[in-house]
Amino acid sequence: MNLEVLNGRWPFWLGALALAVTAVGYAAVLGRLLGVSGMYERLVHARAELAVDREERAFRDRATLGEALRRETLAEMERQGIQVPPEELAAPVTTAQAGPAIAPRVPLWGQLVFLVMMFAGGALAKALAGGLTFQSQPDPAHLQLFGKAAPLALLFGGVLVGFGTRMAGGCTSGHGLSGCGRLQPGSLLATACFFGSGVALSMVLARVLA
Amino acid sequence: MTARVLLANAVFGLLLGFSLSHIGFGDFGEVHRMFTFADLRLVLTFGGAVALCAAGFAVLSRRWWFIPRPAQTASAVGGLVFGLGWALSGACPGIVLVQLGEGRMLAGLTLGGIFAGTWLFGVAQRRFGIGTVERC
Repeated sequence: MNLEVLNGRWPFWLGALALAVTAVGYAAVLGRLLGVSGMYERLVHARAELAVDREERAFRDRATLGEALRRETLAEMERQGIQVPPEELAAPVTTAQAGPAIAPRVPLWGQLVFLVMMFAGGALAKALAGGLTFQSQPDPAHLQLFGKAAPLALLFGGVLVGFGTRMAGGCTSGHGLSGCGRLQPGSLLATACFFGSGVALSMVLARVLA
Repeated sequence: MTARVLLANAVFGLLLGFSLSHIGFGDFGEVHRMFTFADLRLVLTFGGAVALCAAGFAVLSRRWWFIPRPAQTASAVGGLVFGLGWALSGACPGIVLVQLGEGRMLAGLTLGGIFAGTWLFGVAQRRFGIGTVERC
C-alpha cells in the first residue's frame, strides 16, 4: 500500500471507488439507501418519527403484508357471497410473488453514529496526513471571494442547503449517488439542477467578485 | 442485528468522511474549481462514482426493494436551491461534518444553517404542502 494514499489528494478513480463502495456497501449491508440530508431531517423531526415507527413495524415484511391482504380479500368476498375466488388468491403469498425484501429502517441512533463518524473520518484523515490544526479563519479561497461577508455566506449558504435538500428529498449522497446510481428520474433531475445552479452561481461569483 | 447496524453505520460513516477529506471535497477552493470547471478531478470523481454505483445497484436491486424517485417539480426547485447553497458555502450536508472534523471551525456556521434550513423546510412543508412525495 502506497502511503501517498494517507497524505495527499486522491486521484479521481480512487475517490470514485471510495464513494461508490460507501454508497453501494451501505445499501448492501443494511438494505437501506445512504442519504445524509435525510439523517438531518430525521434528527430534526425525531419525536414525530418515533411515533410513526410503532405503527409501521407490523407491515415491514411484504409476504406478511401480502398474506394479510389476501385473507382480508377472501373474507370480504365471503361477506359479499362470492363463491369461487380468483386463481391468484387460492395459494398463500410467496416471497417470490412479493418481490425483493424491504429492510427495516436504520434506527435514529444508528444515523447519529454515522454523522459523528463522518466527522471523525475528516479528523482522522487530517491527523494521519500530518497535522490536525484548528482554523478560525475562513478557507483562503472562500475569503478571497467573499471577504468580510464570508461567515454570512457560510450561514446563508447552509440555510439554502438545508432547505433545498429537503425540498428535493435528497442531497449529494441520496440523489447524487444512491438515486443516480439507480437511474431514478427524480434523482437525475435533482442532481442536474443542483450541479447546474452550483456551476451557474460559481461562474457568476468568479466573474463578479474575483 | 443491532450491533451489525451500529458497526455498519460507524464503518461507512468513517469511510465516507475519510474519503471526502482526501478527495478534497472539504476544501472550498477545490469545490469552487469543480463548479467553474477550472479543475475536472472532482467532476470525474463524482461521475466515476455514479457509474460504479450504477453497476453495484443493478445487482443489489434484485435483493432489496429501494424507494423509487419519480421526477417532481420539487426535485428540480429543491435541487436548484441546494446548488446555490453549495456554491456559497462549499458544503453539502455530508461535507460540512468533514470540514468540522478537519478543524475548519467556521463550518459550524454552515452546520447551524443546514439545521435551520431543514427545520424551515419542515414548517414550509406543513404550511404550503411543498416537497417531494418520496424522500430519503
